[in-house]
Amino acid sequence: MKTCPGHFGYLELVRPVIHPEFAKSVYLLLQSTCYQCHKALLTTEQMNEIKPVIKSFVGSEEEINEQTIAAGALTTIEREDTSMVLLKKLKSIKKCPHCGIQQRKIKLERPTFFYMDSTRLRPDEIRDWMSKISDDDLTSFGIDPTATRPEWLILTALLVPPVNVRPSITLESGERSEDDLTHKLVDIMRINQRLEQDIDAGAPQIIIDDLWELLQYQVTTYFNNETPGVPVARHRSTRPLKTLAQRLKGKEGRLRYNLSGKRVNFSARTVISADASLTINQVGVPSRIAETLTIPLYATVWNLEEIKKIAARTEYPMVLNLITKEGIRKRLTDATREEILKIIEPGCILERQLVDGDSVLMNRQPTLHRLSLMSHTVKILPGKTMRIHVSVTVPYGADFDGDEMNLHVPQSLEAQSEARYLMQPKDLVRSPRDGKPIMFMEEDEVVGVHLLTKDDAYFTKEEASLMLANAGVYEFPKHEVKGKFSGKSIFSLLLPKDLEFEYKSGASKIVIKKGELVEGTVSSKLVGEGGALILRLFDEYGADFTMEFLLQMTKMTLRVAEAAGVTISVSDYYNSDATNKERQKIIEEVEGRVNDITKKYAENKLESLPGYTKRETLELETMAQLEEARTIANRALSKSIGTDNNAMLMASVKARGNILNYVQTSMFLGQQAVRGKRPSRGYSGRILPYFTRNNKTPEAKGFVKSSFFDGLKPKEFFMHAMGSRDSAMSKSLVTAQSGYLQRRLINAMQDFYTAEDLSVRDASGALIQTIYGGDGMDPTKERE
Amino acid sequence: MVPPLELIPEHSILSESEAKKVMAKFSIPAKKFPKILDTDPQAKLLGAKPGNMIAISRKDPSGGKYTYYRIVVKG
Repeated sequence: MKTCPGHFGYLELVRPVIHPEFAKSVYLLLQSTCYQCHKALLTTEQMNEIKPVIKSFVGSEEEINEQTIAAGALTTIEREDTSMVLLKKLKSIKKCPHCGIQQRKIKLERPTFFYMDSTRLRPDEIRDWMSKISDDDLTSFGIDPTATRPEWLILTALLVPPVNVRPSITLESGERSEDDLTHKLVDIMRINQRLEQDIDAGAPQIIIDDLWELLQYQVTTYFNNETPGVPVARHRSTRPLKTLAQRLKGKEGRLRYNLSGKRVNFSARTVISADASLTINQVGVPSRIAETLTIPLYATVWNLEEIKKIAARTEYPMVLNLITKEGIRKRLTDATREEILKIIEPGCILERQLVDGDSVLMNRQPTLHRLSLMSHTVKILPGKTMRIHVSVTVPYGADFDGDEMNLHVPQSLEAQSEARYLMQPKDLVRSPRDGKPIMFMEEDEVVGVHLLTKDDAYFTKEEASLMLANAGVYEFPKHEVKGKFSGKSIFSLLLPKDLEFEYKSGASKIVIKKGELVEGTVSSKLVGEGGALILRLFDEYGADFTMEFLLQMTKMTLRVAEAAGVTISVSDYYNSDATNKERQKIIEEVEGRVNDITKKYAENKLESLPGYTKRETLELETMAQLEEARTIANRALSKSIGTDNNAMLMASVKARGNILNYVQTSMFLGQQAVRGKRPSRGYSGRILPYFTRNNKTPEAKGFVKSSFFDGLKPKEFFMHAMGSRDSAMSKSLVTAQSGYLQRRLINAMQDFYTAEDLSVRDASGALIQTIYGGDGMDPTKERE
Repeated sequence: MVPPLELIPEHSILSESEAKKVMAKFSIPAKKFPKILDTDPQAKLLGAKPGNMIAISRKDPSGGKYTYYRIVVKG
């Protein structure tokens, strides 16, 4: 019972029954052959005419190759079409072309009863009929007679699955409860026996026919208890029986529940949160989880003593289970430990609790990425959440507003080494999309570096020691200016001593010479999204250095930001009288320009842009003017606001928010858009009922003059709501659509691979691309 | 017939021996190569027959050139 998979048996049926799932095939064959001579209802000439077409599609797979296809052979799908058409045609033939007899109408009464001109055809008669159809005719029907004979569609014996397929369970009361399939088989056997006895006893035909019909019913429900037109077979408790088809079908069936929906062991799931003292490679695992999850230890001749020591432990990093050579799992408890220790021998497997330094996989759904599943090193921590470094949040697409992540413990040595060699975040800093870093500084960290490395940043010895000690650096910069250290020199302590680096963008220039930041402020361009410095460090100083650098940066910059107290308040958005006046002026000017355009249009003096009508030109130019208003306001604001304004500071160093947010809060919202245009529908001649008809002023077309700070006027509020609704709708539509598009692409290409010669192949080895991507480049390996 | 256009990469028919070499290079039989219909304008222009192999020399946006191969099939 332990290793034997069981064997199939069979049950000989006293009278044949029709296989309910094949009734339709039987029906087609009955309709297309003569009831007297059992030949296909086609003349020999007609047969010869279609034969070449059919011949080509009957035969083994190997016969179909590019040559036969080129010569006009049909694919599998085309074949099925052709044979169906043929069968349809045969149905309408009235007279057998061979024996000349008038054809009679065959009727199928679902699921298994056949009638010929209202006289019942018994299964044995049908079986005889089927067996008389010639092999030659069968090929014409698309049936390969060397593989299948149609009389096999009528059952004379029933295959009986072994008990492993239909196990019985013993209840606590000692009572045995049999599987539904067993019950069904018992029913079939009982009827079969009764039928046999009655036939032997020479019972009247009516009784035999009744029993025969009952046998047909039992067999039909044995295959599918939801066969249409058949009453469902029920258990004694009136519960419908779960027969063969029911096991496979539907959400709870074998396919969707057990095969597509595999469950996994050795995994954990909790809320994630941030920990600035962990590297991108680590994960903080709650001790409760670490105590439950296990990793296998393999006992060998060489480590036997060591392993016994571990197994003897009675506190936290202890062994929970022993798997003997025979594969029997034994749980180690205080009561059983002594006993089990004695049976440890080379070849056993011990299951040990998770400890610091183990490799585990972290995953966040949706897994759209190979980077959504990465291998982290365990660090056991108190608390109930799993903790990760903030920078590793980007590839996972995670944040800490309640996100949960899954953790998996690779069990086999193969899985463990695969995780370590291929899946560690420190090795995956470069994005497979464009080769740019995907793990970089964000938000507070970016503000931190900015404040640390700007030109006038100097720190006292106390401040510097706190920052440096936080990052684990225990030395001071060499140069001191009036008892203070420059932020640039403090930052430089984290850089490799021989780093030569230069970065130019527009007017700003950042220069690092001999590992010393000599010019410029470190910006997000270096260390944030697209980080040129991170890229450089990763390429030239390796994964471990980059990982360490990211951690030190996090610790140091957070300290700087914390000490500076970077926070925003309403006062950041409060305008001076001068700014308010400026704002008024900007709005008036824009309105003036828009009115000019409208006037020009009204006087028919507006020159239309190439490819546009006059009306479109008016709309386009007006839009351009109104959009421009924001840019002008932006410029005006940047002039009047210093970097002591934290909201502006954060936006300008690309830490959080953008200038548009700022403009909209303290100046004005600007033009609202619906489908990329100014709002244009609503009421007759106007957008909202509060306007007069044909009002062409900017505010009647969705230009909002108020700021979030001042608050919106009712009309403006509705304009804003229209714009918001439109963008919310299109955003969700676009994500759903592009997500599905990507899914289709992934499914279509999932088993393509780049071969050794850099050509792309599919699973069968067929050529897809002669060289990967047309240039054989791997973005993650590309250098400048 | 379609005249050669700038945007269409150059197509050419390979001789039998050349085709054999290409198949050996990728160590796959003809049926494992990408296909092109003999009714394809470029195939028609070259007068390619089913079974022929067509070489397409493509330009890559990143500057390089590479050759793609297709087997002509009946369309």
